Amino acid sequence: MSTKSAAAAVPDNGIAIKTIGLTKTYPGSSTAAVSALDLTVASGSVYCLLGRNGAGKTTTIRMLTTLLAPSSGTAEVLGVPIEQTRRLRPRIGVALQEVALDLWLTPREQLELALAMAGWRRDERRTRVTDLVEQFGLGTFQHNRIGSLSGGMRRRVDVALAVSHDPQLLFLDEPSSGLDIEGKDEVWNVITSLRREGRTVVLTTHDMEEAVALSDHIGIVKEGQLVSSGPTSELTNRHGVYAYVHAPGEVADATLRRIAESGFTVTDNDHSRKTLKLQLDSANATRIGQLTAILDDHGMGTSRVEVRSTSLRDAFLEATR
Amino acid sequence: MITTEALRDGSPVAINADIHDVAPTHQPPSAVVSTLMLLGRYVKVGLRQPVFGFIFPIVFPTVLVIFVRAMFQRVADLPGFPLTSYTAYIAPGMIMLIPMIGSGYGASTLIEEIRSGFVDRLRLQGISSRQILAAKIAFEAIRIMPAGVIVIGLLALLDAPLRAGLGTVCMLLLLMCAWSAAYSSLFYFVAVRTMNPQAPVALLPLALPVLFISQALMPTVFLPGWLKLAIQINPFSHVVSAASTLMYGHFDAMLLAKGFLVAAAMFIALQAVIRIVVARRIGA
Repeated sequence: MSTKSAAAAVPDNGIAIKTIGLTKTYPGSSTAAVSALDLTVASGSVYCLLGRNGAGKTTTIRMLTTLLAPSSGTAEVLGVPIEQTRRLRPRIGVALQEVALDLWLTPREQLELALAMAGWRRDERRTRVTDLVEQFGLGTFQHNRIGSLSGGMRRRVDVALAVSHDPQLLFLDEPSSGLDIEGKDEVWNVITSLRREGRTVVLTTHDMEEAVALSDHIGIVKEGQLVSSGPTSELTNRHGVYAYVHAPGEVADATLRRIAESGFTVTDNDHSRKTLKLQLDSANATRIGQLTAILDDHGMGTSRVEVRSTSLRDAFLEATR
Repeated sequence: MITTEALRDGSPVAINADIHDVAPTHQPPSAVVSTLMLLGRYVKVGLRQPVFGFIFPIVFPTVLVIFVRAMFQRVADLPGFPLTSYTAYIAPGMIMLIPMIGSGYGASTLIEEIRSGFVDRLRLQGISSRQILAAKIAFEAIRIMPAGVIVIGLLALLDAPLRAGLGTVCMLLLLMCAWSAAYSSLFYFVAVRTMNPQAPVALLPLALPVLFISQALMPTVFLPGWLKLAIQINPFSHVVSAASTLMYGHFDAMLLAKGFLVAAAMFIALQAVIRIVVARRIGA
């Protein structure tokens, strides 16, 4: 749930993150990496930030996790201003885009050290680490040096570290990148179980399937600005209904002109010009018959016309165009 | 406030709306304890890749002692040479050379840790950049201890004098730590300034001019005038003088204090600059 317009829809069961005008401009750069971001994330929800590479997702995460000072604007995480790093840091868990591990330690040593630094007693640490090792399928590798583990296995350790101290809010920056199906399932299970416990998760991903499967709310970021946001199901519907024309051959310019003259907007066509995407609105949604007639007239009667709502991918491409 | 909500699969979940009001159940340890934990981690990792940090500081001074002694021991026969044993003369310089060998190791790994995001993780665990630097400097002192004991032992076997026995050994090790903190700070400064893990490694040969532009291998009376001036500027010379007065000849407390003060001044000046650069680059 995000932006001022969407904020009204935030249930009154608490707010985990609230930013107002959050902006970050890196020294020496003339453009803002994140620009006047107004974001509201409800407690207990899974919020997904989508955006192309360089859109500002990671910068946003780094500011919210206290690792990067904003240039302007304010942000509160779990009710704590992000400037209060000592108060906030013990309450959040973070798995950054880069797998930040000590390659010379074993997963078990790494987890134990993290928990020791969080103030866990030795006996508590042992129990917790044993649980985490089991939960993330690290049993076989728990005594191997992390440097000898595969990228996917390292990612598992990284996410295990992020949740190790039982944080109230978890930030996961592309948590399943580089993971095999099994590893991805484990990360998804962790996120789902955190959700069940009423904890908040903020994640970034390029995987639309992951975003749809895990998140309650999605925010789409473009050039540092939140360009679209809302509950996952609403977001896809918001971007409308489309007719996809799968033609048997290349669609000629004359056909395209005729379609446009008839009031249809061609929003996309593939390079081979065999698939057309037409936006349907209240004015033309009932005129699919007219469309097929045009195709018939132009010798493309065997075209298949498919009408469907946008997928998240469509919504994403639409929002970031 | 506790409310319930249904997941997409229909199962009810409890939403603890006030979860952000719950303070963490565990209290992080004090800054000193967490710095010591971090130091323990550096030692463990250092011992798992011991060549650069632990073995070089033993091998290089040992080889140097054996060869330089064999090649130049007749120098002690020259008129004006202050001692009858060349081994005794070079002993302070060889001991103070130990911190300079492998000095870029810690600085180089710091940059790799910053780049990999490991330092960010430490910061999220409540470890400040000051604590990270403190643990690194303490590690520099620890990594040279085995080399210090071995090289001092070897020199003692080769008749290098230890005026007060174990007391002298302890003071030499303390002086070595002070010089280690000062000299390694130079590498940390270069590392954080360039953010390049190769930069402190490239600086390693600096140990050679620092060694040769000092009285560590040859008394100043045998050296040309311009070199005498350079020796006065070289902080290593003052540290070697302090080590010398600990080991043999007339004991000069001022010389000893000067050695410690020079190391301390170099350390404080460099650390002040490092703090500024680190605060700018990675935050507090």
